[in-house]
Amino acid sequence: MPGLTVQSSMACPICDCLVEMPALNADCAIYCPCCGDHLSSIKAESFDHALALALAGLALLLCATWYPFLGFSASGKEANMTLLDSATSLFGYDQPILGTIVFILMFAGPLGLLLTLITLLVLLRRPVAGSASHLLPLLARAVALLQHWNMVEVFLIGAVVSIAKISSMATIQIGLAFWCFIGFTICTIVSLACVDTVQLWRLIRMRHLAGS
Amino acid sequence: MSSNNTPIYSPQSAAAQGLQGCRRCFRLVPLPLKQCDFCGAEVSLRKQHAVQNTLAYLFTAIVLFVPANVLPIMVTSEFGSSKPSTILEGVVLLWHHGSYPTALVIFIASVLVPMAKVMALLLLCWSVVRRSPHRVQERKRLLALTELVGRWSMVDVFVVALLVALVQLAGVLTVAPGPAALAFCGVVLFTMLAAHAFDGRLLWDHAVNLKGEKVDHG
Repeated sequence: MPGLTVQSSMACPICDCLVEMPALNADCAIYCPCCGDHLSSIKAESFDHALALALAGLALLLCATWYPFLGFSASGKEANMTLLDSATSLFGYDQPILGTIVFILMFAGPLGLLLTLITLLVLLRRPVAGSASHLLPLLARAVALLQHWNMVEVFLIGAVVSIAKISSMATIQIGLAFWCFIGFTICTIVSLACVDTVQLWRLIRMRHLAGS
Repeated sequence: MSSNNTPIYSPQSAAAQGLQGCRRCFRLVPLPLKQCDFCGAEVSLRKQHAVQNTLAYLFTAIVLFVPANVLPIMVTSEFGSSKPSTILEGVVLLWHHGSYPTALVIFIASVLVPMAKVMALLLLCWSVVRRSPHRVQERKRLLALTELVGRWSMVDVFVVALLVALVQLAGVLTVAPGPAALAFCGVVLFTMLAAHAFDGRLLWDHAVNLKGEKVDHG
């Protein structure tokens, strides 16, 4: 990328106002002077917090997939399900498209999001990225895409609504995986909230300039 | 767009300086370039055909909204007799069972939010086509709210997926997905695509009057 320079201003993504970005100190936030929207903020060690939470979220997601999610019994019969059953059982009812969408939205997407986020943050932590510096924009792009379609919290509310819906008909056993999934949802949301996209791209650009 | 519809950019905007803000990496890219010189994303002063694309996704969602509400979203079989139920029937059933909070969550997420979202985006598109300079802050908040609540309509689809996986007691009680589940999933995804295709910066362009003076953003 020839002639790439450091820019001190940016356009507000909401109203396109040209904003001169000050050199931000820790625990500062900047808002657009035109529309008042939050543009960026710096918190000390926020990327480290995001990495720690993403790792915790990944471990909890694996537990949530492994252990039984919900159990159900009525008239002396019993049934158990794991997290992935909610996608795979749709295939059994000739709904492969819906099954695939549900699988991507509640498992593959969030798993990919955590893996790319962890890779990105680990690479950013290393002082010399070397050959990995051209990977960073690609990873940040994947994180943004997966974040846009991330629906873990919606799935969690769906699970709560499902329990409320059938608790009058039968006895529900809440499995270990359900609690893990709650933890995973909280970790993922807080981890993503720790990553300021503007600062993330600023860091990636600085790393790129240092590498070239 | 005809020649008397040439866009007017607010004097403080990056577009007025011929700078295109990259939507992905926030870099300012000078005008002749069509791709961001850092991350390679497509850049433009304003998203190309934003209103047309938004309307196209919206009409797809509106068409899908009909089967999503008319056809059954799930079929409950209890001791051999199967009973299909639509989204609204499910809400009414929950209300009669006395689970008012659950009924409200499903009603708001599956009926109110998709309809409000479609109306909000139609209103925003119309205001951009009409080049309305009024109530920019309110319209900005409406767009932000639309983007925020959009994903929550997916609750009903996940509930169906979970019940189908969980309630499988052969001969006693089983739940099967209905054709409306996929249609409703389509409604949610297409309204999300519609909100994503819209360009919020268009709302601010017409907050200047024809002399190029800024109108009160109030």
